[in-house]
Amino acid sequence: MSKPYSEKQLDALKEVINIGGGHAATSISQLIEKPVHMTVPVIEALSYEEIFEQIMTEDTIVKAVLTKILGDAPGAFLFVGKQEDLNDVAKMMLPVDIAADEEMTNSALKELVNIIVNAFLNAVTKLLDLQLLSSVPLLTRDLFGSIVSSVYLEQGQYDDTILIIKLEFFYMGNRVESSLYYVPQSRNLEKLFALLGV
Amino acid sequence: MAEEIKVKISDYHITQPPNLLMTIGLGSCIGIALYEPKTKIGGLSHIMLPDSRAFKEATKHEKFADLAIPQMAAEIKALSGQARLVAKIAGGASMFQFTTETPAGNIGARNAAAVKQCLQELNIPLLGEHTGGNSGRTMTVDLATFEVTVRMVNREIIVL
Repeated sequence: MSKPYSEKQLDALKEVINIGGGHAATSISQLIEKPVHMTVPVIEALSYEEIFEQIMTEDTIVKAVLTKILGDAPGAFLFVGKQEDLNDVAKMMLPVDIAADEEMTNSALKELVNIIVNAFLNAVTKLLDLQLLSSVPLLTRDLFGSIVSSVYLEQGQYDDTILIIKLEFFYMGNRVESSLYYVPQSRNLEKLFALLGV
Repeated sequence: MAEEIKVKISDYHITQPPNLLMTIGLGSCIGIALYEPKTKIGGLSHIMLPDSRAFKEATKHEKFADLAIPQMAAEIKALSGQARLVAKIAGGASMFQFTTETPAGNIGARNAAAVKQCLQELNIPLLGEHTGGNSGRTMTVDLATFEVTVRMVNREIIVL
């Protein structure tokens, strides 16, 4: 990481992510009509090696949905989960009489991310008086390592150690999980901190 | 005993048969296999970025195409006592295809262009490549034959 952030800054960021994530969790819960639990946001500077040791190995096959954020604080949201888990989440969204084939499942997941991200952004833009828009979500099924490195690089985060900002959502007790990563474009966290006054 | 040596992101490794070299999860990154055919000494590099010159503190040589490739080539030449190397590369994908440009541009394509230019400057012939597209890749190098295997999720295996 090029610049270490102060504890106060990270606490403020955590609070913003917490508020956005809380709204996102509520919106998923309303959609699937089942309780959804959310962890406290994880904000941690990790090397790629640590990411693949602590979060998921690089050869794990995941489904991932990427939404870009445009406006005052550009960046991206990356929604990631193991294929089986995300397919279970999609199934909860679909009516029972609709066959959950691959295309339908992926479409449901993209819609889910659309809803999560917009619930998140609505809460945060009101709180901070920001203009933020989300792009159409794109989905892929691939290796966790390929996806994570590419997404951070595409946002101009070139350091060996990256600041992981993520939330985890749990469904069906704790059996099904997914993660939402917030990936700010390089130097945009500073902008957010300025807006937060920290 | 043959060993499968795993090359991490922003790193490279040099060895000889019967060992295999592999790197997992290439996205926009590129895996560069360099090989000296007489001694069968070879290396595999997993670069993240094309050009170190845009950075003030490019301390980690293994991360950049323009620093990692010449350094690995020099080490293989010194170990083998031979001057002529060959190369095969894989990676440089764009994992999500957006129509709008990112600040980084298409980093996968830029990585591929930088790697090829670097190989050309070093006079190292590129014998095979599998680059671009939207899929992550895992690359394995068999140093006995310099056969490079590229695996992608849900796709047939490519042998370079």
